[in-house]
Order: sequence, then structure tokens, then C-alpha cells
Amino acid sequence: MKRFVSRILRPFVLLLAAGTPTCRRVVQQASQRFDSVTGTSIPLRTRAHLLICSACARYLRQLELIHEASGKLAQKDTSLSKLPDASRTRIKARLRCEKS
Amino acid sequence: MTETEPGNASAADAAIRPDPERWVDNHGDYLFHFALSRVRDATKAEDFVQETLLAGLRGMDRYQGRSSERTWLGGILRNKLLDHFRTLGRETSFTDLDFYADEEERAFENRAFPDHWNAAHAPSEWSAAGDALDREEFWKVFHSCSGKLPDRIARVFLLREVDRISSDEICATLNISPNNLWVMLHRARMALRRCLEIHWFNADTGDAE
Repeated sequence: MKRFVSRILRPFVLLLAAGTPTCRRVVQQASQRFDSVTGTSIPLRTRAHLLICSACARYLRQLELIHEASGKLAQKDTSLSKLPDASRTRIKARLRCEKS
Repeated sequence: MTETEPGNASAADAAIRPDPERWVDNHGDYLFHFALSRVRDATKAEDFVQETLLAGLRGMDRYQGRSSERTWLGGILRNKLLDHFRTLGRETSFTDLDFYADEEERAFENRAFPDHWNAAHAPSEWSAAGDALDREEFWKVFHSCSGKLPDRIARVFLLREVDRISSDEICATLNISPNNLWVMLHRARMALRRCLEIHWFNADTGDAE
């Protein structure tokens, strides 16, 4: 039944989709939102595309998660690489030398 | 006598006066990691840490304690890295526009509906995306995925998304056009998204490349 309804609705969805930007363009615009190149608002036709294209809507949500994660990256991954001990000793010696 | 006996005034002074050698223990790893993620060369990153702490020592009198030591030292390091990138930008072509171009083509290779998602590349639903940021494993994968970006792309991405430096400033620093910057960021995001999808969100479904 679900398949039947989907088949019936498909031409209308395609007709609506034809009046909106392509997925490639929507994905490009999604990225631009984070760079203040053209502002942060989503154009109306793109919004219409996002209503009917679940893949693009997902892409936008996932980019928002990546954006949020990136902002926290500096605090989250300090345990992954450590200043080597030899370097630590060398830098301390250099600071002592500079102080005296 | 090698050291001055601390009187009341000097003891109080010492309490508020930062100790540069202690900076190495308290902030060394943070600064090293910060520098390493941006220059991707351990020796260079160590040099940046040293230069940062030396600059901190020389400018200690200007440190008013309004921000935390880490924020202050991080700011010095950030400026040093930007100077470094500025020099690189003048010396080399900074763009890497070929990166991910083929994958982008494949993602939108669709005979019936040109420039719409190819079914095999369309984003899938990310399960448990809501609490991903609270999981340590996610951060390991995120770090690993961002580490796979080519150097120049990664640098641009980190400047923009991690340091939140404006696009205009990045273009001026790296001597690149806004359009090139935008293409690099767009492809970095596409690549990172795909990598996270494969290695984190769909890792248990065996959907690996």
C-alpha cells in the first residue's frame, strides 16, 4: 500500500523538485551557510527542496553536527598527542636560560 | 647568596606572577596538540610551543590575568601559526582544488536526475547522532577523519571551523580567493561527513570502503 501511494505521489514530488535547486547546489549552499560568504539564511526554493529531499535534509543536519563538533575539537582531543619529555626538558631549559 | 629571601611583597608578587616553567607542564600538551593539528609536523609543533612560551615569558608583564593562562598562551600560539601560514601563502599556491573532486562527481552521478544524489552516495540516517559528541570514541574517529584531509585542506578547515577565523581573514592570510576557499571548505566537509558516516555512524553495519 505504502509503495502504491509512493508511486502515485512520485510525479507530483518530481514536479515540485523540478522547481527547486539540484541536490548538488543545495549541498553547496549548505556548506556556504557556515562561512558567512552569502549569509546564513536558506533561500526559499532550497527550503522547498529540503522538504521533499530527505538525503539533502540529512546532509544539512549532519553538517550542523560536524560544525558543532569542530567547535569543540580543541577541548576534546588534547589527550591524543603529548609534548615529548625530551622536548619538555629542552623547553624548560630554554626558558630558564631566557629568564636569567 | 643565590636567591633573594622573599619578603611579604615579593611573596605576594610570586603568587600572582606566572611561572614559565610551570607553563610547560600545565599547558605544554595543549599547545603541542594545537600546533601539531595545524602544522602536522612534530618537530615544527615543538618549536612553536617553545616560541610561544618564550614570547609569553618576554611579554609576561603585559599579561593582566584577565583571561586564563591557557587562553592567553593559546592566543600567542595562534598568532604565530597565522604568521607562519601567511608566509606559506606568499610562497606557495595554497589551493588544493582537486581534492575530493572525483568523489563529488560520483556523489551526484545520476542519469535520470543529473546533479541529484546517486543512491549509493546519498547520506544515510546517522543513528545515535544526538549523543555522539559525548562519546570519547566519536572524538577519536572525528580526529582520525580530520587527520585524513590533505594538509592544505585541513589547515583551511581548522582555521575556519575550529578556530572560527572569518573567511575574509583566512583568504587574506593564505592569499587565496573567496571562491577557492569556499570550494576547499565544501569538499573538506563532504569528505569529513563521508568518513564519519563510514567509520562511526555505520561502522557496525560493515558499510566500509
